[in-house]
Amino acid sequence: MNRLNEYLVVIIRIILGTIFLWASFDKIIDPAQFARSISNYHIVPLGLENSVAIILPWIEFFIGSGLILGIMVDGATMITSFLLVIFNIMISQAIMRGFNIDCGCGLRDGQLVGVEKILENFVLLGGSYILSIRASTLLEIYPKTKLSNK
Amino acid sequence: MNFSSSLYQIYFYFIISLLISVSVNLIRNDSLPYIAKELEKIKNINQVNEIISDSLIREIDIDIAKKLFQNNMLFIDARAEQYYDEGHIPRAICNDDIDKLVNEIENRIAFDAGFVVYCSDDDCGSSEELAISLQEQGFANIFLFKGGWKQWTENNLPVNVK
Repeated sequence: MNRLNEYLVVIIRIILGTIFLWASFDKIIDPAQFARSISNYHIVPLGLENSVAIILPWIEFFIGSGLILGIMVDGATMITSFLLVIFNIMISQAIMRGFNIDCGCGLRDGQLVGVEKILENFVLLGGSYILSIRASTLLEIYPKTKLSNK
Repeated sequence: MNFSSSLYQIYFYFIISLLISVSVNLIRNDSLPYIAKELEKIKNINQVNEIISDSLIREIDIDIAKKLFQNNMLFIDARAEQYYDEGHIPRAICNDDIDKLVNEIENRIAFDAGFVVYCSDDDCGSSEELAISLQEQGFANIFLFKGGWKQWTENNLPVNVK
């Protein structure tokens, strides 16, 4: 792998991590607001939107931090991909059911669910895929994985 | 534990997130219950006139909303002003600016007087968000009409349309 590709992987890792870290802040500060945003999707049963609103922002916080700092990047990347797929399923069903709701994504105030948001998530999913097949662990702190043998 | 394994890394992220989130929720002043409580539903008009000691947001159905409208209760339209301009419940007020809306409500009723908040329909969510924002501003007796504009018009009730 040439040096340019190694740096590209680092840049993607930092961008993806920053987005998840940034998205977590508002949700951590105001979980009640995030719980209402989740509730508007009408998909989480049994009043569990509160539990999701309490735990999910911290998952985003830690995987975002992990990606930026290069800590357990494989695990963080897998969770990132999983979350992005779930987010897109939630947004798609909201669009199909005609809900004109705030996406509750934590990135921009008042961003509504829509195709634009799904495309954004697919771009991030692409970044996540690149990280999952990376052949370099440049600037990763821990663990120095077996990736060098990939 | 072998943290070179992706699976263990995933476990690690979930466990640390779970521990920290639960701990933070325990110590914060505005901690959330893990299971969301449903809003109290008003089943008959007499409950509307009950004296309440706590600040409350209570859900009403179309029949109660109709009676409150006939009793000249204030209605607040939580939709964006552009939708309000196209059509709304008569005498309802609307303002995208929450501060201006609070002033408008203050000029019409006391903080403990009841009013109804509605949006497009059961799925819109903005009526509940506005009701909570207004409750945080000090209004204590808020009725949430979840059926909203859609159910109101489906029942051929009075409307102001452009």
